Amino acid sequence: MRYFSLALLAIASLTITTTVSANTAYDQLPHTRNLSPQLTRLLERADRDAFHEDPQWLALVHYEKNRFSKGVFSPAITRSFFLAEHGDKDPRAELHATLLNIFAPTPVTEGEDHPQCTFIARRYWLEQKFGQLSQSFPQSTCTKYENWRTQLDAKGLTLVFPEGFISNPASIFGHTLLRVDTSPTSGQNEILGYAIDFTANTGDDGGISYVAKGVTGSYPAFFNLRPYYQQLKNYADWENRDIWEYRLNVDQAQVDFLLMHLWELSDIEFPYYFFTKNCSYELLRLLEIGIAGFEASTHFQGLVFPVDTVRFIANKPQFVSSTRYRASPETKLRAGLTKLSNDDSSHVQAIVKGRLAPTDQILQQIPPPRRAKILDLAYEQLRYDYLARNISDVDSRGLSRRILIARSRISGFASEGNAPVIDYVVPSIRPDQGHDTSLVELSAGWRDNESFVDFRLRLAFHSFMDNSGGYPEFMEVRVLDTNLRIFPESGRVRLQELTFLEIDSLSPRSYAFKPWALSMGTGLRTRRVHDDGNLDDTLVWGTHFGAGLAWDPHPAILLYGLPNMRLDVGSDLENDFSFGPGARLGVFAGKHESHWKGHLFGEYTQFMLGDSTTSLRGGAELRLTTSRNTALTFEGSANRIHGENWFEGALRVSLYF
Amino acid sequence: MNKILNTFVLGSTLVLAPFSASFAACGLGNEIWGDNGSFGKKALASTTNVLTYKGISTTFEIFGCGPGDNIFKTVSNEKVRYYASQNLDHLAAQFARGQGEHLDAIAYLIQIREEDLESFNTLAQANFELLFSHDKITADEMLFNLKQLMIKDKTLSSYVEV
Repeated sequence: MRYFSLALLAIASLTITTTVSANTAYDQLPHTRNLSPQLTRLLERADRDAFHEDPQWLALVHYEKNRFSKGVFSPAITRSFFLAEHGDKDPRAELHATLLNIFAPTPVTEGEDHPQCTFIARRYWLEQKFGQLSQSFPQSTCTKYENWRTQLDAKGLTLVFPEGFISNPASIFGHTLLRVDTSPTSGQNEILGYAIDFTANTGDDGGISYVAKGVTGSYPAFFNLRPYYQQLKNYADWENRDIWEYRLNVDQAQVDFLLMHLWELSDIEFPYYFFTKNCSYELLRLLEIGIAGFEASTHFQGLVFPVDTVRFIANKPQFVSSTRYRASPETKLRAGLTKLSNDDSSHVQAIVKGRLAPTDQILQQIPPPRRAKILDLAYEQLRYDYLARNISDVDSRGLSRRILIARSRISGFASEGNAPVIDYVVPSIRPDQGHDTSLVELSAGWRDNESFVDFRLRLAFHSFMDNSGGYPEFMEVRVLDTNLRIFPESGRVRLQELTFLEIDSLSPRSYAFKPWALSMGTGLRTRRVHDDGNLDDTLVWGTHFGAGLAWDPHPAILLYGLPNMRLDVGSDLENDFSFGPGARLGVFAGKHESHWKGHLFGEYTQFMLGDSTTSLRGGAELRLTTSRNTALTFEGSANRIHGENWFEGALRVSLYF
Repeated sequence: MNKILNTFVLGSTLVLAPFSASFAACGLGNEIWGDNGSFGKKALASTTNVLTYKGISTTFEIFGCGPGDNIFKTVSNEKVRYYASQNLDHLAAQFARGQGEHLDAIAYLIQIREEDLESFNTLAQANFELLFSHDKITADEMLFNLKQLMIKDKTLSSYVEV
């Protein structure tokens, strides 16, 4: 996908399968049976027109090109997905076997479906390919399938994108689902739809083993279909993720064919690769099958970030007919509370804390529309606190009902249409309209009296100072952030930084929300060390972890402070390591989607073990977003370590791609 | 937030509680705001864990929600009952407000005609206290209460099995 996908092969692309292609010869097929003349004619025709090379046939059996050899393989693990012995590597044999099975005498085992019902999409596709010839196909009714389709009542498709969720490493980059809509137009009964997802079953694994298995495809994954309202509970109510929905411009025949294939995938296990063949990739593959000529997966041969697949779909001309934003309960609550006056806001808190009865005289004197808002927010707050486990169900249940009883006595809002009861602003920039995932940056700067040029390349994803439209607020995730520094005067070139992963979350705290601000990261960084009496730059492996608080007294101001621990490891350090506590604090200025952003910061570390010293750094950044994918930044900092001071400044030009 | 902290410390993931079989039940008996209710954590956990059962199915029997006494003259009382059991907390909030997506959805499942929607929404809001008659109400009880109210309503009685 990107320039340095290749560099990532070591950590991410263990998807490589070096299956050697096997070319099953015609004579290996079960031709010992007496084939009917019709069947022989069909097989010959399929061979003559090379049906098995058709992209849709390849997609139906989920064939992928081998990386290092000719031929293809299908990663499906469940054997019953293949009807030919070597069907996983041989599209032609699989096609022949499918035809033979369609003509197989009726079932097989009592209660089991005939193969032409199990593989209903293959059968349908073959019928279309053979045209007139397919009239010889035996007919059978597929009752189970028909019942399922009736229940589904499918008339449309919507791609659903829950935004990144920082608590779960596998969810940081977001997730996608494909909703099957029951209404031919958007906006009606959307919660009654069903959502298709491709999910790994990770059991109770955690830590290293979770990551290792996730990257190497050791987790089994299945396609699932669940009521959309349950998915909303999971992603919105429980994980508080904002959700974007993209209604797709597809016709009934495309929906039908996609669902036929989904039926074939029932109980079929696939390997799950967190970063490559993941939920978003497999859903694109599914769309490819439903929509002839869609051709998406060829664009996603390396790392697949869910938001990139959303962009791909949104950028396809005429493919998205409408979009919808669903604010998470937390987003709604934050927005609603911000809009209340101080008095009303303290009423909300008093109700939630049980200090003010929902029917109290104080509230009765407030005009009904305002009172309704107070009660709605009090209920949402109570619900949020309960799900965040801040209060028990015993404490919340009586109060929940009392609030709603008081609320039910204020009528007259239903006539205002379906405006959200709690106001929130739909972000003006959707995730697909945010800056592209990767970043290249060129800087000209100086350090004391020496000038330098920095060349930076970041694989993904987003930092606080980046153009923030379309990205979750208060979250920074950087993956493979590399900085090469060139000193033109001396001609020296050095690797200044190679951050493997940096994850920061600065969710602001208020009396309604009590999140911790968190920061962790690991990778190579430059540090000044003693070298024969002089100080010199060296690379160390640095890891840090911090937890603290963030606060937004104003929508354009975010203050933060995080006590932290740092560990540097490197052979140029005294005793090869350096460890100590410290702190980071600062302030960001500028609203979420503002073009101008400022940042003042200070960092202090008292390295106490190993190479001991005091490290100080303070500075400022000022950034101007010039377009969706470009920005200019000026940065200046004062630094001190081992008693030496230096200043550094740079002008950076950023380009996302 | 503790969970987030754990995640950072261990570099780990959301630990999914083992899927409890008893919880796969239809959920009609679950109390609204209780730990087992549609409001509750277990209900949410169960939605995230049903990963390996025959995932591609929409028959309500897989959730253990079989046919009960018919309440409404709709095509599928099972659908109404299952929907109510899974969304009771949202329904409570939207009944109290007299509007919302979940209220629209249950009206759709009961097959309320467009011209009767306003009557239905008004009935839901005006009688909230009777519909959600106590703190530990279950979906079945609420639907029973709804039936009683609809029977007495001139417009809405036609939707109810008597």
